[in-house]
Amino acid sequence: MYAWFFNRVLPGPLWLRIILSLILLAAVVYGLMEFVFPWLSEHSPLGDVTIEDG
Amino acid sequence: MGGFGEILITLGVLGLLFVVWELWWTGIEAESDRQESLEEFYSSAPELPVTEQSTEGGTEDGPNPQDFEVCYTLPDGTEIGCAEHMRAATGPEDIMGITYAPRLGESWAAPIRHGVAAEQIDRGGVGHYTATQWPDEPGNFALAGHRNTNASMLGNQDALQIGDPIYVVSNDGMYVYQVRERHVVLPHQTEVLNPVPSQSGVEPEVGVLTFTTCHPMYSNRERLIHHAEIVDFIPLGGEAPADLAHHDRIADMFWVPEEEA
Repeated sequence: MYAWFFNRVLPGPLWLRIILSLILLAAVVYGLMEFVFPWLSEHSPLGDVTIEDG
Repeated sequence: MGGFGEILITLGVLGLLFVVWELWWTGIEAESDRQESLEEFYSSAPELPVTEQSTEGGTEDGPNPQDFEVCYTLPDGTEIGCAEHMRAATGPEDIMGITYAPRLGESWAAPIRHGVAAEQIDRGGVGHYTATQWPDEPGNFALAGHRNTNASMLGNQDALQIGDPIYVVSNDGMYVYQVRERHVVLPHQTEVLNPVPSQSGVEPEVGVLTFTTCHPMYSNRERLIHHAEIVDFIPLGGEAPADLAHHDRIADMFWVPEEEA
């Protein structure tokens, strides 16, 4: 899957493909940290520190 | 390597990243939020006549406590001032005050927001349980903070010892508490938030401050509770406790002896 993506989907010579994959990786991690994980944690009870009924 | 293996590895990495986010990334954001909140609170703090005098005269003669309205009196006769400013600071962006616990670190200072939802406590401070009382009345002033994530404001809460001071500074003055009790309860044991903690139907006589956080570390199973009892009130311009004197902004609101300022 990743080999196919690296060899067939990404354009250009090897060095360009390495740079492109690093940029894509950084973008994915940023998206996870900023948007996906905050959304996920709202729907999980892990961050709950309070005392409450129920 | 097959596509299935790659998916498993990807899921594993995602899980690790989530842990990194929870324990580290949330802390960075919350910490910068905390710094901004402290700055915001102190920049809106009332100017003291004593500060003006001392800049003009070049000397600090001594404490110059401002008059304050007394809301109630402790059994030993100590007068507790009203928290008019604090009670008005309940908006989503408002900082009610700052709480200091010298035992938790020299620079430990937690902004207090009104409410214990993520919007309040994920921002690097503590939140006030809105159903509990205020520092200017007998009863329970209960605060919640994170143990492990979002800057872990109360990460070190278990270091508090019986007798340790906890201070709550607002634009009304400083409420001084002393830690009296530590215990661990289950998350649904709301009686720790009662006006007289763990008792029901009893009329409170004194103010109590309660810290609640997760327990044990990295878990959500129980809650760690510390109760502190109010022992003093210092009006604006009064003499700041020695263990707070090194905090820059304390000297803007209270009198700090020259050599400690």
